[in-house]
Amino acid sequence: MLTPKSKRPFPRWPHGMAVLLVVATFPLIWVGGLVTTYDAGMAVEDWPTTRGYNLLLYPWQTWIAGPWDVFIEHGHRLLGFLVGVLTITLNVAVWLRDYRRWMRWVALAALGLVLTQGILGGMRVIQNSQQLALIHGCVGPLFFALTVAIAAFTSRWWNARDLRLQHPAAGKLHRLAVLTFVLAYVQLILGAQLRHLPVDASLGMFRGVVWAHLFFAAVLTVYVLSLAGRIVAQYRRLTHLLVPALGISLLLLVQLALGAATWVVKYSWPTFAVAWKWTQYYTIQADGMLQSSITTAHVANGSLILATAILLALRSTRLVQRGVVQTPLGDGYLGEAVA
Amino acid sequence: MKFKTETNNSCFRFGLCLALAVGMLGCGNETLRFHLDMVWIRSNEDPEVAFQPEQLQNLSNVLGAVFGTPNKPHVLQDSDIGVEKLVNRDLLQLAAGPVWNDPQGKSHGLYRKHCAHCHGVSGDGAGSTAAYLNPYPRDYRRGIFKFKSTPKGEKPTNSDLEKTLLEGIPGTSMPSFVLLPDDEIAALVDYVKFLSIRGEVERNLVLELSDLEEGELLVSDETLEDGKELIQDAVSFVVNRWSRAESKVAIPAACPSSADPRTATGEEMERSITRGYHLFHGVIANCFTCHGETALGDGQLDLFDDWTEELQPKDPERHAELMSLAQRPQPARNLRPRNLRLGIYRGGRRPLDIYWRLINGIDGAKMPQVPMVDPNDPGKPGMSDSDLWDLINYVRSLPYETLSRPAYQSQTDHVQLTKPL
Amino acid sequence: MQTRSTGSSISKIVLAGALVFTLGCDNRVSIDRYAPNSQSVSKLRSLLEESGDEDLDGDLDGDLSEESGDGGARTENDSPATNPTGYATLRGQVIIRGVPPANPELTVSRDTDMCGTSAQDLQLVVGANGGIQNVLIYAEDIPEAWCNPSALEVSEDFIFDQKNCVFLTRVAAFQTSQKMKILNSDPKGHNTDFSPRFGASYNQLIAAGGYGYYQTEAEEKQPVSVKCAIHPWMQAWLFPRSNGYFAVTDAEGNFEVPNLPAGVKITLRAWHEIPKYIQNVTVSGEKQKWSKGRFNRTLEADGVLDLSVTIDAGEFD
Repeated sequence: MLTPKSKRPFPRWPHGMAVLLVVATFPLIWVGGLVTTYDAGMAVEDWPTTRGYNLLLYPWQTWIAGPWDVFIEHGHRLLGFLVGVLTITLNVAVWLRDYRRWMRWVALAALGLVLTQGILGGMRVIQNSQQLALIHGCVGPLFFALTVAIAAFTSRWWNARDLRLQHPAAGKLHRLAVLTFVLAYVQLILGAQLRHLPVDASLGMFRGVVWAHLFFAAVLTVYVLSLAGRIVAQYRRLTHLLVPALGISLLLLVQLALGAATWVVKYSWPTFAVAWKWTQYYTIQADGMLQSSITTAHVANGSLILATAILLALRSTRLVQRGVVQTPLGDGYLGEAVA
Repeated sequence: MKFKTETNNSCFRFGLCLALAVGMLGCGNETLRFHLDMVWIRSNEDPEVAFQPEQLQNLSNVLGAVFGTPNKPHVLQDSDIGVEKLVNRDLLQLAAGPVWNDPQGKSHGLYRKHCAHCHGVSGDGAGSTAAYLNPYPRDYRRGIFKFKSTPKGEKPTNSDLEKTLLEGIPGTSMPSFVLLPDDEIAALVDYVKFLSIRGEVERNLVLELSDLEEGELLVSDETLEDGKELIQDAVSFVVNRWSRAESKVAIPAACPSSADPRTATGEEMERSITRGYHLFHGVIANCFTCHGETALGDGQLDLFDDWTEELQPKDPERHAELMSLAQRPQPARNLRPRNLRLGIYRGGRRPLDIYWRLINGIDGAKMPQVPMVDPNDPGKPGMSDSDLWDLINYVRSLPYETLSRPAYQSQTDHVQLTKPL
Repeated sequence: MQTRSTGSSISKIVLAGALVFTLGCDNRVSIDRYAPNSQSVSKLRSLLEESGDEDLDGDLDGDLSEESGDGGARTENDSPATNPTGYATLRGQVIIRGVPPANPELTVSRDTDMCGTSAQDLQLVVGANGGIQNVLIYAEDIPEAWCNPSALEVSEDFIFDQKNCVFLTRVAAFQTSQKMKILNSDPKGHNTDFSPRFGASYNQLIAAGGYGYYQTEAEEKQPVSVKCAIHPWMQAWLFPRSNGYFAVTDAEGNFEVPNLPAGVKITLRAWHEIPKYIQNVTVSGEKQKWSKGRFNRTLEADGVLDLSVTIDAGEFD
């Protein structure tokens, strides 16, 4: 019996910090998307300083009242700084309050990733490199997914290893969820490729990436829908799975619509749409509200899909039969008893 | 234990994806440069003797000397030629190069930020997205622009180019850049002019090259003076064309008050529109031949615009080669006369815009100028100024006209109506 | 087993992704391989940007080309100081050897009542005697001072007509001093469309039975294609020149260019719609190569040079 340990109070701090981090990271992703949408990555030409000022000392009046591209780029840096600070705080919380040694490594990994990401962003500015911008854009959502994972690891539901949840067919579900996550990430990289296309990219490259993005969109749709279908069919009583499953389906539908809309507001209607007269009345407005918000929403929503996918992938592991029966207890904090 | 391996496995997968993204780093990053117009070079090659690599290298060097590179465009310092009067050096530098903001907050690299993905770094209309756009992005290098206040063969004015940038072109991928500050628009206009001049000078030099003897260079150590003169002539010719654009603007004749929508009574307008209807179907203006009996734009469907026509030699193999050099997918797209019943006018919908389309024609797109009467030659059939406004009124009324209006029934009707009612 | 199959599907997906990336790599625009050479560029730039009057570090033939004056003239005249000793006539006949290839059939897509239902694209017109019509012979880069007044003072209108959807002059040269009157002798509209390189462009509707005028400001170096957008199969070639030293062969293939400057070497060029510049010829039984259609002659004052030019039918394929 593990009574002594399980009687320790469940540590709220790490989970609270992790959720806060998730909440802070999503706007960071959104603003990062805006920076790319407005091609504002080079709006401030120095780093880590902003126009010669220390990041935090850049006059806020100049920032707020200044040009839009500087506003979002500096805002992105400030938010990035905030997320960095939150990640450090999370590390402290995990170090002090979480009893699982491996959690410390995970939290440390998050810190490493956020630092790397900051330096990537900085190098992108210093070298004015589209390729670094692309990598920066791909690592961001990965960090976001990691924060969601940490929030999941530190949650009460995760730690309350409810053996009644275990299900013989859960392995399949788990694999499906992991695959969905991988696919969502590949799809995200493809999207980032489109957004960071080199200015002298060949027509073949654009064609290749567009078609791959469409192909993976179709594959991902099939995976997401079958994952959600499986959960609704077999595990609908588990709110912790049902809610993200319904969520990811909804996000996916929104994402498909946003993707199609992004094409239209950037490149106008595809050739076959010429037949519909009403399409011909539309004039694109470069950097207009419609164009930038739809494009950025498509990017941010992609990150949300990725985050939901990792949540499902992690939660579904809890259903997988481990064969190791540690405790007959139901709800209860197991602490380090996890193998 | 099993759980652990599972985690490792997914870590491995993340790693793979990350590695793929990082793999992109290894991609070559050749410095950007302007490319030669290989379509034009191939089209003007002697069928018996191809251009020698040294000749083309020499051509590329000459163009580099006159126009610099995409990162550092050059304005030729020769007051007799006067490139600097046409394009502002500072604005040009603002539009060129990579995207960044200077410490004063000025945006640089505007062309790459806003234009190059479609119009290409060299302005060849073959940026990476080009194949998916309909219509294809404009190739500036021919020096032909469709929507302008000047007649065919003349260059657009600054305000013509500005208008296209500010308003965009409805129904196409050309956006409106109305949100850009004025100086950025001015910089883009100058850069587009610069690319266009560069491209047209290149085309003219290729023609000169094709006229030289086999293997002869445009300018070599032995022919320095001749070569210099040849290049100067080629540049100043194109520059002169651009400089005189302003003087070639068609000034519209006053619209008679009985045809002016602001002053005419309803009955007068109706009469004006009816007169325009007959002009549309008459054999002076001949609008119906291309825009169709019903003005749906279905009268002449097998033409190509000037940019595409260049890719249509009779020999199918040659055609395929030029299409691939131009990076245009097969099959080539035909020119579509505008469907006038949509009420979308790509060059602008003000009466003045339509006036310019009629009096100037549309350069590059086959639309001819309407024939005008000559006060000194009463025998010459043509349209009077007031006829022109009637026709404009009719064109502008077409989106609201019902298709059920009896069309011109027979061909003979067209023939009889040489004089408007 | 299940894990393995999942694993392989993952690897398939990843492989597909990798393929896309490798496609992405190395996929920059590569239209030509002629990157400007920075050394040559700076040398050329300093050549172009030095003030015009300065001597080019003792360049030998600098003075020479300056005097010949004519922009871009690159013919190697013996010495421009030599003046013509008089005037002479060049005439001759252009004959085809072998069976001329058939002209392509045209698709008459509209106005068949006026244009007929079928037509041939009269690219190559060969007379009964084998004479080739519509070969253009002209003298290149003749300084104005060398010209006979008769070759300069032409001012009557040059008439360019169209009937039954055919331009009545398939190949025509005229002088820049002439006004071109474009007629439409058909009962329906035509539009006459041409874009010269140096002169003004033209694309005007010519009303049924009407006409329009064109005045150019510059001579051309190559014949200019003339089209009609309403009847796209119509084709003609125009060649505005600053002097009258040109001729277009008639139905028997005959041509005559009178009053050419004599006693000086002049460059003549021969052009036909199909091969463009005519390069492979037999002149009076002797095979000759006219590179880019050029051939040089020095005529004797008051003399007549008779050229009998034979061209293989193969040149017109």
